[in-house]
Amino acid sequence: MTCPDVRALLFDNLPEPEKERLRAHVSGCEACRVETERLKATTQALRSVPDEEPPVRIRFVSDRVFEPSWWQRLNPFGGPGLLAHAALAISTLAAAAIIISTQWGGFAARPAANVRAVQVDQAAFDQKVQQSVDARLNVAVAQAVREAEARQDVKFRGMLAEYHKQQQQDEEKLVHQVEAAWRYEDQLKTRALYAALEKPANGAGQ
Amino acid sequence: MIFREVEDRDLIKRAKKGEVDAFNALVSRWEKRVFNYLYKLLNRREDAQDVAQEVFLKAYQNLRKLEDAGKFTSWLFRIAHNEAYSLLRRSRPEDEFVMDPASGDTLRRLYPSETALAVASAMERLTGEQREVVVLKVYQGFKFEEIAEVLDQPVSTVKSRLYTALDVLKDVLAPIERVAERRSGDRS
Repeated sequence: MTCPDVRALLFDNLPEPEKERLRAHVSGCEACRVETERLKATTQALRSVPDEEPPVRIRFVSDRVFEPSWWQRLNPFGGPGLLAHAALAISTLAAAAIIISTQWGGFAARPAANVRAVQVDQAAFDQKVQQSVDARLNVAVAQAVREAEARQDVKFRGMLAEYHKQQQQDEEKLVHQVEAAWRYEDQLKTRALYAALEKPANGAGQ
Repeated sequence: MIFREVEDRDLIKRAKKGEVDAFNALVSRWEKRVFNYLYKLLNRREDAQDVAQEVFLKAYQNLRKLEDAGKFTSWLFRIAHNEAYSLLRRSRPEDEFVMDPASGDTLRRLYPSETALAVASAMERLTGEQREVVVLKVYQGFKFEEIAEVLDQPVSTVKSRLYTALDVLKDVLAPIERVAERRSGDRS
């Protein structure tokens, strides 16, 4: 007798009557029973290794990291950018001009000038891009400088106020010390005076 | 599972209309499974993490192309499969990729139990294709038809790979003697 494929019992999505037929076979066939138990033990061992949590959460498309840059925002079509489209258009027009001129002969005598025109357009594009980048950089730097200066100003004002306060306290302390010194000097003078007054009286009595 | 499927369908429908939060919910729901599938294939956490990120980004970009929301899972794993193989081809140009010994060590460090050691050792004996089918069937619980869609292979090929792999794994993880011992233990 040929045994059915009992592996299907564990891994296939069989209809219930088919499953029942295979179960009946397994219960009466020693070889198939051992095979089924080995397969069950194997899958149990495999599944005993737990799944892991991802080390870092997958970033959502709404996370800031995926927000388009100012450069990408220039392009509403999601392609390489408005300026790139402009450059492509300029290059295409220039190339078309060269082709037309060579075909019709109107500018055939000056192909180098046309090539230069393309180069000039490319250079103009590069310059425009550079200017745009520079302008944004300047704005960003100026903003950063303003913020730093504002922070420094607040810090400086605080330090100055602290200095004035300390100076005032020092002056008051000095005044107290001077007053105390005067009082001490007065006491010394008074004692000396009393001493001078007492000396003749003692001498007169002897 | 039916409730879950309906929810996925709803989220996909909403995400297709441009609701980013609905897609975020799908990411939260599937990121662990996709990451673990990739981790078992690539054997490097960092690679699995990076590729998983790519997978969800591509899924978002191409979601409108998914005609049948009921096939979202196999569609998502198809992207993951392609991305993983793309990385493997870049890093290992040969057609067949194999688990290097260092990767096995990584698994052993992660799961230092006796069974886990045996599993890591057994998985090292499989080819990349066999290992992937085992991961999709045993760990991810896919049907044969779904695996066939993920791998773009006939169901018969998928079954053949799985059963060949299990023949290898059985010898390591469930030798006949051990099964016989367990059965005698059950009887006594």
